Amino acid sequence: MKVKDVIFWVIVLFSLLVFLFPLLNVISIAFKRDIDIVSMPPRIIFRPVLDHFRIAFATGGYHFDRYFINSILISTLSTLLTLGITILPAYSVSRYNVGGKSFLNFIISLRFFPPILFTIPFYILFSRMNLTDTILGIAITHTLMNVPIVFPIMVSFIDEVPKSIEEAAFIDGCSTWSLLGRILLPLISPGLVSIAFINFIFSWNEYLMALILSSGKATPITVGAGLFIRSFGVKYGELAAVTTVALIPPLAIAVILRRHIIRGLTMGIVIKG
Amino acid sequence: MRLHLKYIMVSPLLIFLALFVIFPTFYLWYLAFNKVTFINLRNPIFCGFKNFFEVFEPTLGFVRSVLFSFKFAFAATAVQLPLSLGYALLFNRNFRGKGLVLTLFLLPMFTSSALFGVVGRLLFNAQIGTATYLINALLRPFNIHILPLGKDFVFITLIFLDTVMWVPFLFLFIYTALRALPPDYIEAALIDGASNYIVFRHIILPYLTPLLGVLGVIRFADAFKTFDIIYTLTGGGPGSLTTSYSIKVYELAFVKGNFGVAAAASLLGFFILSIPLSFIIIYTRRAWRI
Repeated sequence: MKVKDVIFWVIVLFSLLVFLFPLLNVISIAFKRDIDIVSMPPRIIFRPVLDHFRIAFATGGYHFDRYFINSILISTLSTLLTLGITILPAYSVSRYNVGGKSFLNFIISLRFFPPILFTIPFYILFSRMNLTDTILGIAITHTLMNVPIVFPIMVSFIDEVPKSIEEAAFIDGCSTWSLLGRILLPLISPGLVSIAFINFIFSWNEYLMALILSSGKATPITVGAGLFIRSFGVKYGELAAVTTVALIPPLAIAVILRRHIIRGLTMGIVIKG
Repeated sequence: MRLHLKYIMVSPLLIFLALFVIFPTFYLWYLAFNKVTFINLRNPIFCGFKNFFEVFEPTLGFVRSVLFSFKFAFAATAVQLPLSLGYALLFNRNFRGKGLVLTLFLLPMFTSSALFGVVGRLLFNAQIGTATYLINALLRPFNIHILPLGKDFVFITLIFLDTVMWVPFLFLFIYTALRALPPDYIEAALIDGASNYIVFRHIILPYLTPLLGVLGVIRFADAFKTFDIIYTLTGGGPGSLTTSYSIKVYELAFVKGNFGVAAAASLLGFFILSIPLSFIIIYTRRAWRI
């Protein structure tokens, strides 16, 4: 029994090391002085400095401060849009089975379409509508990518609310709209919070749409970090600092709200089965 | 409930889908039959099926990119699905510090795949890459020196990074399903003297098979259309060795500015993926009645 436990922990710790090593590596580079970055063998113990963060986000003229704010704006706007266009339809699908199974299946199946299919028409249509390089334009595309994931989760959250509560409210003379606002909304709000954060994470992490639709003004930080490699060659420290900062928001949300987010995510696939 | 109210309620989603899914899809088909470049972006010239033929010109490299995507999707699924199943079985017990271990284990799935490519670029860099150093230190006794992003090993490096990102994701669903399996079945089998292998082979595996099928299809389709991690890690190179279907379409449209051919290529690639995928879906549905 003892030996088995030891083997178990050796496997667990080794796996954790392998799975987290890429992240640990980039974080350590971000805090190293240039001389420590290039030293081989890699230094495990070093004097941490904040120079790279300072250069990338303030003094270096790289605009990563603005890219970070753009990311926050895009993700927030996309989250609001997604919630705005899915709450009522999800209620309708859950309670009145509007469109039947095929409507829900159609929305889920949108997930299988490669995003690259949409890049070409979006690029041309958005440039005609002056939506390229705007927060709104990118947020709309992120909403499109997130609806197939968020919608089934939303439907199953509403499914979980017992119908008898609504029936009781109806009998007491409650109108549909006040039923939605005063009774259903508070009941599903924990679900809405996890959906909102799932959407925020996915939008924050999205790359392709933001890459083709942005050219500086609305560039989010993931795209900025990717471009950094091409534009500024071997500034490893700054690149690592930008990457570290860009990784933090989704990871922080995932750690703090782990249970809620996992429940939401696993719900989405249950419907698929 | 007034009858029409439920239809009014769905309308925000319907309007959104009409504007940003249906209309762009028709527009994409329209572009595929027209000559459109950066110069005549606003006035496409009709050219029939010409774009679809041009896609197959060997110099364009489209066919190679689709083959690469199939190879990548196959390798990724074949590595990641069994590994995730293994981890789900490993963690399907109670131990101290489980919450913390699982939280840490799941972290990579919440990172941006584009950033993960950047992370990989630093990790496997020829000069400053910690992993490059460690691998070569291990290989030194054999007098071998390798470049993880060089042409011989780039595919393995890519699969490794993709695996680190996706195993936690797949693991999460398999693990959640395992936790929902009533323990009585397993206990009863163990009391009857079944070995761990028998329990796995005859109880756990049949229970998980439909889920594994669904996850396999999802992972294969996602891996086929991979753009981010490959683009930020290798840019499709060295040469065009790791140019996937999505990267090829991106290059055709946004580097070369040949939107018509790119539209045709994106549609063809999608259909090429759909054919085996729909067969697999139909087969799995029949086999497991899901």
